Amino acid sequence: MRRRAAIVGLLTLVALGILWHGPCLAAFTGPASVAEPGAVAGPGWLDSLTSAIRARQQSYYRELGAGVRALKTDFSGAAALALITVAFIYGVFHAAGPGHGKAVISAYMLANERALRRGVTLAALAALAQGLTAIAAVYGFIFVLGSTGRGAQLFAADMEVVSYGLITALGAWLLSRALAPLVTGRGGHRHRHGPGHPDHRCSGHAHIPAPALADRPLTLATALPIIAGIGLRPCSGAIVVLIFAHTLGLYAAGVGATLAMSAGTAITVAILASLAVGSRDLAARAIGARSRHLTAFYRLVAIAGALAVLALGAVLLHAALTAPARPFL
Amino acid sequence: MSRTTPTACFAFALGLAAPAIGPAGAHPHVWVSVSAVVEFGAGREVRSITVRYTLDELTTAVLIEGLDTNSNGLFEREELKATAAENAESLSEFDYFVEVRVGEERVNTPEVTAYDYSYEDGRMVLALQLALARAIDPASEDVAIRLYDPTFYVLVELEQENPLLVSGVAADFCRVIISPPSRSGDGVSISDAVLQSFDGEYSIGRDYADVVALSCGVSG
Repeated sequence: MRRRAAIVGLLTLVALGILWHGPCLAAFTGPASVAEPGAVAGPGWLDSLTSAIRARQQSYYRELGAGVRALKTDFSGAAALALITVAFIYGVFHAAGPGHGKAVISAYMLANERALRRGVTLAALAALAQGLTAIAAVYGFIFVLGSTGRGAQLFAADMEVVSYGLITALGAWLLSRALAPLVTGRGGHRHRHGPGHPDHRCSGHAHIPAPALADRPLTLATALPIIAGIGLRPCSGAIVVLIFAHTLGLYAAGVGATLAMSAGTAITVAILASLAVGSRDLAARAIGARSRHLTAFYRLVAIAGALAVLALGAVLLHAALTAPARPFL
Repeated sequence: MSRTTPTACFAFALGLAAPAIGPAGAHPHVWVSVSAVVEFGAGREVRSITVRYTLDELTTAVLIEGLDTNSNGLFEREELKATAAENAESLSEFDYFVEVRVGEERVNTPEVTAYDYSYEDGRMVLALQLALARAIDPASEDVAIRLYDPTFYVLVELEQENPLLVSGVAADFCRVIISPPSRSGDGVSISDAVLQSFDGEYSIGRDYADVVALSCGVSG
């Protein structure tokens, strides 16, 4: 039973690894330089998968524009529903591509979360926040500040830097917290809570291995760092669709499409993050309930997850700060 | 420790390693239709190429929103001037999406010698005349032209109609042959392409680009 659990966990993690960064992993195992295209072949099915996701993203992105335009010529419920559907599917597929917080959320959940439901809620809130940031950026700039579409977009790029900075800081904080028990003593959970700590709800004081924390309520204070870290970076696709809809005078269409997009993204991120947590817990079950090992395992996971959040944040921040100019936008 | 523990730990380490490696990959955010005219000198040598970039509606919307400063509902040349200049400038960092090769040799297009822009039917259009670093004799040299964004941020597509023309003097003399990308499903893995795009040698955008060749007869 345990072995089967471990195997399932292993397979899930391998699948996740590929989904996240399979193409990247393949790149690192391949030759460093190739003179001409056609010289190197990666795993074919992996390419096919990546190509399929890429092709979907491309076509849906264009269909989004077409959907808004269709609504302009024929303002009907059917056209609106078509746009919402395309936006939703775009969100689902776009989130499956690189970035978009799914790796950050997954690593964060490995480091910090016991309960699946909390993780799903966080993924959903982060995705919603991304959409709301896009809406606020576009309409704030165009209506309130009287600025240009380009201005809103450049603001979004700045927010990206802020977002990655927050993720880096969050990673550092998670790491310091994960390492703290190792520094202060080897006890897993031996200190006492004084009268000021009647229960386990105090934030910043999570005892990762303690099953009692599984139903820790979601409070704004504990959830805000990760939601803000992900959500302050507006989806660039949403920005573009919002501005396009605005130029056609279809304000509600832009907002509706953005929210549908967020819903799609939320579902994908929540599924991937759930898979990460699920496979961790399968691995934990394989280790068994003997608390010494289990405590060590969860602690290791917390450290590794925190390191991953920190590394992701730092890499993204560095990339955002040193990114060369892009053509047109 | 049970026997499954090492397996579980390995499984877990693998799962953690995956997201930590960092983001990679690219997909287009902007679509540009291009057409080009290959221009010849008096001696039937290729001197320059004029590329006309038509941006997609969404990108155009972002670029022009708020630029109608006199609020007359039109986007006039003066209102678009700064944006057009900015775009031409930014294209210079990407070789203007143009790659001209004579055999293995790359002939650069470093200089814009003429420049025009307009707003047509919801789309921003930019036209740049690019001088070749050296003249090419297409009768004796094999010319291959590819139009693509090396970073693959922009998907560059040839126009459906007359994507490539040769200028007047060579119209009877040269034929344009457009071949689909050499990549046909097998070939290079996308991951390799993405990685190599960093050193500028090879990019995924190139992989998707049609190859335009000139076939020029001596008899003319």
